[in-house]
Amino acid sequence: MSSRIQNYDRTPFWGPRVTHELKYLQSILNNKEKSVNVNKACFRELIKVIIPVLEQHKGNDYEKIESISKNYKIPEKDCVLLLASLEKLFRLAIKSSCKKRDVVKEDLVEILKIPQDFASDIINVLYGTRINAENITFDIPRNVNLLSINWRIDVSLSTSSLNRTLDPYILIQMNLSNGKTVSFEMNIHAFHKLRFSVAVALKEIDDILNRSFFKLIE
Amino acid sequence: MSSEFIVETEQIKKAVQLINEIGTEKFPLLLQRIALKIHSATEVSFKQEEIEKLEKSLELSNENVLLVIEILEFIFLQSTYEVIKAQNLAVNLAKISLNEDKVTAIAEAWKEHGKEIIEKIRQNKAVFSRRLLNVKWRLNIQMANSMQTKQKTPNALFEFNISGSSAQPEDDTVQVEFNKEQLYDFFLKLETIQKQIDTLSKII
Repeated sequence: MSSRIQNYDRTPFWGPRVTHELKYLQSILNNKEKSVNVNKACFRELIKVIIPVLEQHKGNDYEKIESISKNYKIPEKDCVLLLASLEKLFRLAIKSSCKKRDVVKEDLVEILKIPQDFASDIINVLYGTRINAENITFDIPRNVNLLSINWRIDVSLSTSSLNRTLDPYILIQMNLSNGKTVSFEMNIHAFHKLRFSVAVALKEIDDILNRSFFKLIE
Repeated sequence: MSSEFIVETEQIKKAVQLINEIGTEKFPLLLQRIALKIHSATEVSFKQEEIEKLEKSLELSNENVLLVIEILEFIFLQSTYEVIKAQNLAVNLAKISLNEDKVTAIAEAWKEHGKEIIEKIRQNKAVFSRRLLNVKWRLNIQMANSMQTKQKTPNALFEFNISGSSAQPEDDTVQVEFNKEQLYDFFLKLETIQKQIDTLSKII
């Protein structure tokens, strides 16, 4: 395959190594295997099966694989292999997070030698609206997130040490994503400190992304 | 029946007699010391050796010294409770037959230290559940992860230091992560709280 490479001063989106899955995909989609014949409709079915897998990492319903294999006369074993290769291809494409469709398409068609139609289908799914970036990248280490906050403002009228006082304080209950519930109170001074820190952090986020360094990364 | 500032019990009468006998120069110093230490929840106003020194200088027995200190502390605490002004305090003290010079000395001490004592007691001795002590934060930019290279997502990590209370004696540290959207939501919630506090301060 590399004997056909002409002007490539950049690596294709899947990285420097062409894995087994990509080679398999190439040979199948170019009709090099006699027993397996994938036409356009079949390919679209396969993609439809892949998308939920990408989002949730759940196993397939085996029935869908059986139905595809029956309808399009592909042995089941090859069906499964096809699905696995497709998933790998999609994952590699998402990982490279390349914003330019043409570059990806060029890689698919020129380097991997996937026929135009199939390549267009792949591109449409990748850059279309059906894949949500956040749902795809779910399997990364995460810290504890805030799910919801309940709050209450109290004013204390009298205590055992002070007969008449008007002392407001705020009670907060935070539900965290690790299932814990944290509740605490703060007086006005602490509340203002908290509000100020959050505002500063937000401002820093906005400022930081405007620095020229980050514009280069695009 | 209106409640008296200080109800004149036997103990109070005895203490007043003792206080009236204390020299006019020594009395303000005694008051200063009590005023400084009264808000502390942990320390006593006078340690053992200091009490013995007081016994000698005021020429009172141990029991009487303790009584005097207790009554003076009580006067201060009661003034804090009622949030009383210095002149009112003077009037009320005269009612329990304290000498004039003692009354002026106590009123002076209250004028000087009163506000501070009220503030400190309000913060320390009030009943509270777990309180937010400190907020720390850190801002990161996520450049890549195992599923996606070439990212630029900002990430904020906040750490809340929460003090213990009688129910849960340990201090707690809670770390929460926010991305930009979550942080903005959090900010909007805090803004809602702030608006409510503002309307509240108009009413009060």
